[in-house]
Amino acid sequence: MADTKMKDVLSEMAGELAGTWVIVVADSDGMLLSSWSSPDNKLPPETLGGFIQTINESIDAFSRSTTGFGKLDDVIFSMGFSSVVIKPLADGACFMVVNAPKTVPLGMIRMAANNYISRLEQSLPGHEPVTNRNGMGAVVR
Amino acid sequence: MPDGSMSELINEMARTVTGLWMVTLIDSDSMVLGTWQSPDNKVSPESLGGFMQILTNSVAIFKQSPVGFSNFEDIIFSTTVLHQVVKPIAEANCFIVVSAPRNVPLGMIRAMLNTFAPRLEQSLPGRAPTPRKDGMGTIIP
Repeated sequence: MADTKMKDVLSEMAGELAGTWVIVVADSDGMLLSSWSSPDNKLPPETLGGFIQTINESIDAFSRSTTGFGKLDDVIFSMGFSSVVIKPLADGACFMVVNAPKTVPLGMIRMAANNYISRLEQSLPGHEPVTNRNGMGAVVR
Repeated sequence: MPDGSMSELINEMARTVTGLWMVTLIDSDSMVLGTWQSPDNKVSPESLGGFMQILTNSVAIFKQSPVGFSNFEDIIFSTTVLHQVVKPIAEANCFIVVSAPRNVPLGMIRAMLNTFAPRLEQSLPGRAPTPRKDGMGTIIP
């Protein structure tokens, strides 16, 4: 149930970020919880999950260093023709990873990540369920 | 001579965007090549060392993975308190690190880095020196 909700939220987020290749939610060990990928995506979502594991050490070191005071909001890797945005969920227990070509503005990715983070957190197993809505958007009790 | 122009460039960078806390140029072993700090800066450039070394290792692993198929342009760490932007220069032999509070726009920091990166690269010892100019801005042969 939680996975279905998460997939819905990821699909909705992808719909607002035209051109995005892949959106992944993985735990801190790089295990995938849910993913969405476009037909243009060339990287399997599992690879991005593995990338979390690689980068998690840096994130951890950053958070513990004097530089990383405050709660980590997001980490952005900009490369020649793509960007990877990593945003921690549920106090760093999970991460959302967005991989998109450079044509997708970074600001749009960050804003979408900020706006969808609470819904994704709610859809995590054990968290509060997302409010059920009918076709008209009204809350179903 | 290269250090003189490097310090000048770093100072010039810091003046371009208001509110920055620190602009530092470090090598891949985290040795400081040049730095500028505002009076509000609370983290010394030397304390970046440990974090940068872990980051460098992660970048090396990342490049070997299928995700890191192209060159890095920059890495942005955002916390609730600050932005920290790391930009590799000179084939990732050196890194420009900028720390700024959250109220400094990230786009401004990235634009500044993109503008100054080639000039800082040239100011590295052993690289082509930046042309010397007289008080009127004319290049001295």
